[in-house]
Amino acid sequence: MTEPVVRTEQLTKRYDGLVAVRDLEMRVEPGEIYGFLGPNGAGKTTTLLMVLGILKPTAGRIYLWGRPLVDDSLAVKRRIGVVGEHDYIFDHVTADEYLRFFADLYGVANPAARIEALLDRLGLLEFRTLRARDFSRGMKQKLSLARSLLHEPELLLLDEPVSGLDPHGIVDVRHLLLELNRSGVTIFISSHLLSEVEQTAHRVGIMHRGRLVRQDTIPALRGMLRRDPTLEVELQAPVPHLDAQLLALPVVRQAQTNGRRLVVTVAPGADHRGMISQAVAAAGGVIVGMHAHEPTLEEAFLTLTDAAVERWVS
Amino acid sequence: MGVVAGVRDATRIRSAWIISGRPTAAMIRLDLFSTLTALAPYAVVAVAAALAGFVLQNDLHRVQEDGLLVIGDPFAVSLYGGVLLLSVYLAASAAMAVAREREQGTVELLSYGPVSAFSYLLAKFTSHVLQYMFLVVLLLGSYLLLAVATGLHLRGTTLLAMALSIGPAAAAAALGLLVAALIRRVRPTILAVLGLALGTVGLQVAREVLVRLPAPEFHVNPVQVLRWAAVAVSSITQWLLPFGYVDRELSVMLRGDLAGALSVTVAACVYAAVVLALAAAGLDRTGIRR
Repeated sequence: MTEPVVRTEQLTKRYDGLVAVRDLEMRVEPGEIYGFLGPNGAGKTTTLLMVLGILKPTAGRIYLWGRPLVDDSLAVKRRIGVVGEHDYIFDHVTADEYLRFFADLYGVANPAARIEALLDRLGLLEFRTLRARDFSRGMKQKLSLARSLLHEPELLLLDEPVSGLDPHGIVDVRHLLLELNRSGVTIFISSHLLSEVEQTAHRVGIMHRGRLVRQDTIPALRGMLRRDPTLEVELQAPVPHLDAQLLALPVVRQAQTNGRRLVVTVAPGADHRGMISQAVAAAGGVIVGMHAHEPTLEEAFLTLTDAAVERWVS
Repeated sequence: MGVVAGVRDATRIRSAWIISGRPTAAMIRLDLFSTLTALAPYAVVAVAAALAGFVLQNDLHRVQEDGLLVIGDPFAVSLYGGVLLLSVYLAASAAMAVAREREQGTVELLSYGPVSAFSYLLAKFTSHVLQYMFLVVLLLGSYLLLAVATGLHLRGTTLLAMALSIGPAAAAAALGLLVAALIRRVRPTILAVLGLALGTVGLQVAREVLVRLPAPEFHVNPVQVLRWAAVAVSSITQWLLPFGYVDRELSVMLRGDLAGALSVTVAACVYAAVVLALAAAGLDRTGIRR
C-alpha cells in the first residue's frame, strides 16, 4: 500500500486561546489533485504553513511520504514546490535572475534551459529581463509558479494560485496543473475559488472554523446533496397555468414558472424529459431548451459550512 | 573497510553540501551582489577615509606649529575610528537585512525551500564578513594613498591590526543578526544596534574620563563610586558586546603584541559563533513569519 503524500493526525494549532486548526485528520494521496477549501479564516493557510514546518503545531503530527515532518525536513522540502498566498518577489532583480537564484538554491541541473522552458510555458519569456517590481500582480503570480516548478517537485502546495490572474491566465495555469498532475505530480490547492477547484481537483477537503467538516471526491459531495432531479426548461413564450397542469402529472413534485422559464422537480429513478416535453406541448407551449440541473461544489460547500455553523452554534 | 568508510564519508559530505551548503552559497552570492551594488558601504569607507585625512592633517598642522610631534603610530586614531565605524555599520547592516527580509516575507519564501533558520543566518553572516574584508581592503587603499600623500609611514602593525579586525567585525555582524532575530521590526532593530554601539563607546569614554578625574576627599566619594561602577560595567560589556573586542584587538596589536591580538581575534570568533547559534535559536523561537 502506498503511503499518502501528506497525512495529518490530530493536528491542532492554537493562538492565544483561539483555535485556528482543530484535530485535523487529512490525507493527500499520491498523484491526486486535492482541493483544500474554506472561507477566509478557516485555517487553510495555517495548515499549509504547518505542513511546511514554518508554523509549529500545538498538538498532532504531520507525515510527508510516510515520514514525520521533523525527520530531515530540509531534504523533504526539496521534493516540494510552494506558491504562498503573498509571495515576496525580490524587486531589485530581473525575473531571470530571480529564477536563477532559486535554481542555485535547489541545485537545478542546466538551469538556463529549465528557466527558459518555464518562462516560455507561462508566457513570461519576453519579460525575463524586466525587474520583478515592474511586473503586474498576475505576472508575479506566474513567476511564483515558475519558481515553485524549477526543481521538478513531486508535490505542489499552492495557496490561492490563480488569484490576480486574468481569465486567460487562469485557463493557462489550470491546463499546466492538469498537465503536471498527468505526469505524476501530486497537487494540493488551497483556495476559496470553488469553481476553479471544481474543474481540477479529484478530492476536496472542506475546512470551516479550523475543522475539516468533510473530505471526499467531488461527485460524492454532489451526491450528498442529491435531491430530486430538477429540469430547467426554456419556453418560446409564457404559457398560462402551465405549472398547475404539470403538477397533475404523478412524476412531478414541484413546478414553477417565471415568464419563459420553467423549473420542474421530478421523481428520481428515470428520465422524465419526454413526458415533460409532451405535457408542455399539450399545454400549447414550445420548448427551446431543456437541461438537468446538477448540484455544484459551491452548493455542497455552502451546505456543509452552514451545517457546521449550526452545529457549532448549537 | 577503510575504502568503504571513506566512500560513505564522501557521500555524507556531498549530501550535506547539497542539503545545506549549496543553498547557503546561493544566498551568500545574492547578498553580496545586492550589498556591493549599494551605495551605503562605499559611503562608510569614504567617511572613514575622510576621518583619517582629517586626523593626519591635524597632526601635520601641529608638526608645522610646534616643529615636533611624538606619536607612536600616525594611523592609530584613524584606524580606531575606521574599524569601529565599519563594525557598527556591519552590525546595523546585518540587523537591517534580516529585519527587512522578515518584514517583506523573504525569509518565509526561502524557508519554503531547503533553507533553515541557521543556514539563512549563516549566509547573512558570511556575506557580511566577506563584505567587511572587501571594505577593509578599500580602507587600506585609502590609507596607502594618504601615506603617500603625507609622507607618513604606514606600519606593519597597522596592516596586521586591520587584518585581525575581521574577528571583532564578525562578532559585530553576529550581534546584529541576534538583535534582528529577537526584534521583529526594522526601526527598533536599528535603534537597538546603534544604542548598543553608542552605549559601549559612551561607557568607554565615561570610564576614561572618570579615571582621570581627581577624586574629592568626601567621606563617601561620588567620583570613586562612579569610577568603580563605570569600570565594572565596561569590564562586562567589553566581553558581552563586540565593540569591546575592536578596542582590545587594536590596542593590543598597535602595541606590537601579535600573540595577544591573535587571542582577542580568536575570542571574537568564538563570540561570533555562540551569538550566531543564539540568533538561529532566537529566529526559530520568534518565527520567520512577517
